[in-house]
Amino acid sequence: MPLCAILSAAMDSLPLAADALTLARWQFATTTLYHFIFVPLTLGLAPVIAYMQTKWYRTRDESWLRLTKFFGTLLLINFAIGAATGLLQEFQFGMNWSSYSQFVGDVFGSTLALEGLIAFMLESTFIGIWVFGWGRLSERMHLASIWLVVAGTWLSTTFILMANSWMQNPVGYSIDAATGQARMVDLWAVLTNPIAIWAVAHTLLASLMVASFLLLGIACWHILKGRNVDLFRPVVKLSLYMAIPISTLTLLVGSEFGVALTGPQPMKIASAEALWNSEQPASFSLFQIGGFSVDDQEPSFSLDIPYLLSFLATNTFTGKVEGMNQVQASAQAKYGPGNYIPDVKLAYWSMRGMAYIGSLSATIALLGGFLYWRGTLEKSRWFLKTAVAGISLPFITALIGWVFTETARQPWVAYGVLKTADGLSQSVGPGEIIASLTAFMLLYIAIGITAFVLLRRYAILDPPQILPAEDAKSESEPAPVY
Amino acid sequence: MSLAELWFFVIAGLWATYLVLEGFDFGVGMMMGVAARNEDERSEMIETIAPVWDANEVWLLVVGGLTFASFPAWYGTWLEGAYLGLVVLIIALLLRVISFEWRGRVDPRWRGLWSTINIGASVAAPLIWGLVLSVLLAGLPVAGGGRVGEMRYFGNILDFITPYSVLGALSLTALFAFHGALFLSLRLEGPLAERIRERIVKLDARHLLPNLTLPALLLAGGFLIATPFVAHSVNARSIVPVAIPAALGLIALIAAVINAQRGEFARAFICTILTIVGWVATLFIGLFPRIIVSTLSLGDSVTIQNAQSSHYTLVVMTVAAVVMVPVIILYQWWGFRTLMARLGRGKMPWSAPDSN
Repeated sequence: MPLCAILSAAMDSLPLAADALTLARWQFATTTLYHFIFVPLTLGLAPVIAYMQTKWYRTRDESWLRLTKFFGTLLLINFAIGAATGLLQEFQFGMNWSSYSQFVGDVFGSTLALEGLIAFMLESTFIGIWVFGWGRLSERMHLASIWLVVAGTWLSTTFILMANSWMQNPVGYSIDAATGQARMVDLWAVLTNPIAIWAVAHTLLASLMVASFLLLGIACWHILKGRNVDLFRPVVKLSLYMAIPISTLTLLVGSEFGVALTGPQPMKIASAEALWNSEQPASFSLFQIGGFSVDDQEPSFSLDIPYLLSFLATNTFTGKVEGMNQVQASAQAKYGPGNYIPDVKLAYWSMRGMAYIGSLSATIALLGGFLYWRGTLEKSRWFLKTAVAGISLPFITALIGWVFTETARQPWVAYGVLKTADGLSQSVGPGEIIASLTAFMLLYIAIGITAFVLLRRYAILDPPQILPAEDAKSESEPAPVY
Repeated sequence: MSLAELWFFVIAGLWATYLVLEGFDFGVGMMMGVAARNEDERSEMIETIAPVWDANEVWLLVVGGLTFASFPAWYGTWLEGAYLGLVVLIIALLLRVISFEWRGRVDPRWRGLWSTINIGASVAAPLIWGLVLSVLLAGLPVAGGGRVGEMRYFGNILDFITPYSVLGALSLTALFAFHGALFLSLRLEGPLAERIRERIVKLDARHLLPNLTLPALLLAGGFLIATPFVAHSVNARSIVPVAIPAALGLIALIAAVINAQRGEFARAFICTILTIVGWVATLFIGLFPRIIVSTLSLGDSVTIQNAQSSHYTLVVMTVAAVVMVPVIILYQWWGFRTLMARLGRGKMPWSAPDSN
């Protein structure tokens, strides 16, 4: 239900006569979301693989080495696409959002530059060293290289989210009186943006969720087929140890993230709840029909839980939550006339889609934990099948989360500093964007299909055997085969 | 020299680093089209760059990010103007990355297709880089925008096609082909390596095609000779300061050709590295103190002065670069030595002494 609603709301904003602004937004949204299918898997899988290799290094238990190489191949296929699509993300700021780049590049560009210098170079170099270093480096150095990949990917996320959080909650800057450009005045404030801290925690947890469900799903598939059961049994355990606490933590941190956002972006919270007028105490709407536009503020049907929204937004059961009409009035007083209300239906349903599917994942994880504790997990074929299908859930949740946080910030690209419409490249017309959008979509679909086929093939393959004489040598390495 | 001027040359240095490193990767890609006779030989070629191509490409993200941070108006105006060219470039780079990863994993029937894609991308990417870099000097219709502090592009992609920028595109591509062929001469052994050395790198009267030495010499030489004059006529630069790096680049280029004829491939490879550095240095010194020469009027150009970030940001970036760039060079150097030395038999100039 939320999925359909999100799709229909998204389609509503597709104009018939497409203008450059809408097209550029669609291009950014689709390519970024696509990029973020692969990113969380890399972020979550890298530490898992590093953990597996560490286990092998410490215990010399060969099954951990086999698992390291098995999941290593999946990581590599995935990493390549994540890195390749990331290039477009950086260049797109200049190509489609030239005015944005020029007005905020001083602050925003700096975080991207720091990411390249400190993080991305580290992960890209050491993933090459890890792949080709089997048997060529000392085991200790080789193990260190995968941990450096983990450090690189996590640092990379941190800097990228600092950049994004600056768009959500601009800090540490002043506006140049002569040119109107944002100038960085306090790097520390940019690096310790409270929104960034929550965003990093929430994103990394969500990424570990993605990885844990992938592990669980793949392990359950092998158990379902009765293949490599002894090898994958510890993977089930590991994935449940990850998924149970992390699914709950992701929801809790996400909720606190919402509280933190209420201050800097009251409109985001109000629109996510389709709350038109301030309430104290505010009730949480579980489901509603209608009530999503200025002309239709009263839902025709609504299922509410009293006090819950006050609690979610302010951490007290009687806190006041501002409504969109009030925020709109104060925004007009502050920034001048204009519409400061985002797409309410999209915000409402994407928020719920994220929370509901996230809760569903948490339930699956708990169920798996229960079955595992009872010792009946391997015989519960329905659960094994659910777990295989469940691989997709955390991916979907993460993508919907981005749809929510980016669309509910509109009409701003940098909140309170620059509107999205003012960030556009002036000389790039709709025709050019239609051409590029079409080309990227066709390419991304082709890559997506190939990626899916390849990942699936390697996920259902028997993990590589370790020949006694070879041990960790190159014959069975997860290296690309040219 | 102001901090922004220093950063202009830092960015130039990063471009040189990126082009030197990814240049031989592109060159190897081109050689797959010219020198290999079958897919197994192409696999052999790819293996020579397998451990490093990814790390090499990251320099592009670093130079992109640092340009964004230190000269936002340059970043915005340039990338906006080059829109369609960059779309092609990004698609080429994307397909190339995917081809590396998947060529050996997919059904063998598809190997040839992925090779073709890799070859095509390895030609397209340097052509576009050469074009969009050298057009900075040839000039683009840029000027101040509607808002103060904003630079705007007033043309379309066709404005990127000028005689000088086309020479820039062809010269960089020819240089990379030579650079990559020298790299392969060092890294490969056997009949494939012999074919590259005898027919492609050395000037052989019987096999003028597909010999790569001559195009590199003529096109890159032509670019180096033309640049001081172009800088003088469109950018009001005096000839001598631009002619110095051009002359040094030319000497390196000639030395590369001579060393290749003598079979001194390691020396020749170092010389092509220096030629690429000379190519970038000549261009950027020709641009100074402007960044994008305006064809509307010289006063409308994007300059170091009007494109720079705040002093604070430049200081932050300076500290970050001073700390991180040596660290990066250190671990990449270590990675290169460790993996390159033991992976193949070819002896590289930087190979660790224990290589065989």
